[in-house]
Amino acid sequence: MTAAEQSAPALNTPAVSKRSRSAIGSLRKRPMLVVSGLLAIVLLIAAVFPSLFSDQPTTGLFMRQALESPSWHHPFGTDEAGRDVFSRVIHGIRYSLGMALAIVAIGAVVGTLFGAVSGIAGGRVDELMMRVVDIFLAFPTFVLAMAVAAAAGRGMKSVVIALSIIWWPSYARMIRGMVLGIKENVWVESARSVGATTPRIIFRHILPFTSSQLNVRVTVDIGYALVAVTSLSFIGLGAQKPTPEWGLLIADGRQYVTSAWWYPIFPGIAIYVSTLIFSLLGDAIAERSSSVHR
Amino acid sequence: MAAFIVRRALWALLVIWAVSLITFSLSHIVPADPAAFAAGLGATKSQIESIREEMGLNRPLVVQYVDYASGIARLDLGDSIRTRHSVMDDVRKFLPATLELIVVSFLIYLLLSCLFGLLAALNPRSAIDLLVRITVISGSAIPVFWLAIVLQLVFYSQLGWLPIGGRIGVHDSPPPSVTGFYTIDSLLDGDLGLFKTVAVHLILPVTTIVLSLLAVGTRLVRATVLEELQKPYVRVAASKGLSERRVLFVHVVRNTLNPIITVTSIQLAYLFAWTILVEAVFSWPGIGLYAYNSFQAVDYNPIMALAILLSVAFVLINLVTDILYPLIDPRIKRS
Repeated sequence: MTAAEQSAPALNTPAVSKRSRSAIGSLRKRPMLVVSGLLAIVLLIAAVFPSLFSDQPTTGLFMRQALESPSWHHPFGTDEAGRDVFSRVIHGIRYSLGMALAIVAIGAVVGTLFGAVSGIAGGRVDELMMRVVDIFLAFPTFVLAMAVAAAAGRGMKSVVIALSIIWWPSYARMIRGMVLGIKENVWVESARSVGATTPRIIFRHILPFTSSQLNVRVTVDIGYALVAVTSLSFIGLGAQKPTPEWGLLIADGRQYVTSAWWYPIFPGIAIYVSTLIFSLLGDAIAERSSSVHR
Repeated sequence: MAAFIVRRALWALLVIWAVSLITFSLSHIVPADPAAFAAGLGATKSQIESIREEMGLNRPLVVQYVDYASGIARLDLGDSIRTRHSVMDDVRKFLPATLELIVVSFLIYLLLSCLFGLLAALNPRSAIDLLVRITVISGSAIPVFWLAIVLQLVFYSQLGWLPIGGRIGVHDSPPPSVTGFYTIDSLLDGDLGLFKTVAVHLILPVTTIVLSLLAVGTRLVRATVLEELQKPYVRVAASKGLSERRVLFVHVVRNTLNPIITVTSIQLAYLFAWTILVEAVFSWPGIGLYAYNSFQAVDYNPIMALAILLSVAFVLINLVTDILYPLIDPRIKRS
């Protein structure tokens, strides 16, 4: 242990310098990947530590500065209670993006397991499991999500539950299709012949080969989930006042569309830019992994 | 062919049955106590008990489900607490407005996506191709309800060119109802002034829906046409001396129809969800605004009913598309 610790830095030094050199190289070679990746990291940091980016209070009443237009002090203006819209947008990242991340994570995990089991099992079981997926994909799911969120009661938890329920089937179908191809490979056969258990085969010998496509899908989906989450919040099913969730901010700001344009506009730009970042990052990852395979 | 239709129809029935199971569990099982909910805050125990009796909630779940499902089969979808009408009556009242919005939007969307897609495919790497690709990337990232607000802000608040919402002005009276479409009815009535008002009110909601769909449609047309142009039959047709226009519009366009219909029928699902958001922003008095108001009033019956009706509509549309395929593309019949 101690020997390994001592030798580790010595071994790492050349590797680190090599990596940093390749980072500059990759910035030149793949600017999109680096830029969108960094922006995504900034978003995640702002979600966890919003006060790093804005020190203005997000709650309270400051009626003397209500509905002020954008200024140096309030770059996104103020809302009907005089709160700083910029600060509320920054503090809203953790709610909107947090819900989107949760939905995609749940959807990806459940869908991957379901799809993998279905693909491995084959035959009748596979047939039945895929029919379940088909049913989910056969009707307007977003309307279903609205119904689920309404029945489960308003709140962010309901939104996450409702959208997770409609999010997993497409992952199940994608993974199942890939598993069908991967399980025909020699190494799966040989793993089985030396007596590896099915879970071990799934997790060690099959799923790793789905990861590059899965990564792309998950990244792009974060943006779509963000739009879905904010849509549900906009119609009043998600976050409730005074949470600075983006969809809710737009719903509140909509009432001032004739007098305070900045109020509904900036939270929407936040959704747009975030979705764009994740969709560009997804594209960049796809491009990189396809060139690596070549 | 007949066996195929029967199989698809049975599948459609299965999907509708699954939807009814889901909405049943949502309305009868998921809320901790539907009776207490219906009774409202501050209801006494005996009041809740009598409501439970009245709603039949103390019967076995299976009996309740059979009752519920037979209600759906008879198109009896319960009453709205908010409007105090049966949901079906409300739907009949609000449906024409939504249909008019959807039909107009969809026609314009199909026309524009074919136009832009063709232009982009025929002039690769031109300005229009670039423009199409930029709108494709940004199009899916814009939340539709926000796009609607931005359009309101620009064309109503700032420029004052277009009304903020509604189907007609506050002081206008609707045309005598024939089709329920104000555009057609006002023309039938010979009232050109009213037709103009109706058309002006349609512009912003239609633009919102078209813009939100356009990215996908244009990209699809562009990709399909580009792919088709590479195929041998195009060269054969061209070498026979057929005009470029004939090759394009008679040979290529026919082969691009199929994927476009597939994707379009999937987009209808989004359209259902988006009309709720768009109608809410523009106070468009259709099904979407009805749903939105029901969400606001925590009125569950209309929401569950709409989930069922929209699912049925969607499943039926898909069924029709499945049946249409072989008629459009004879190659499918063999497989």
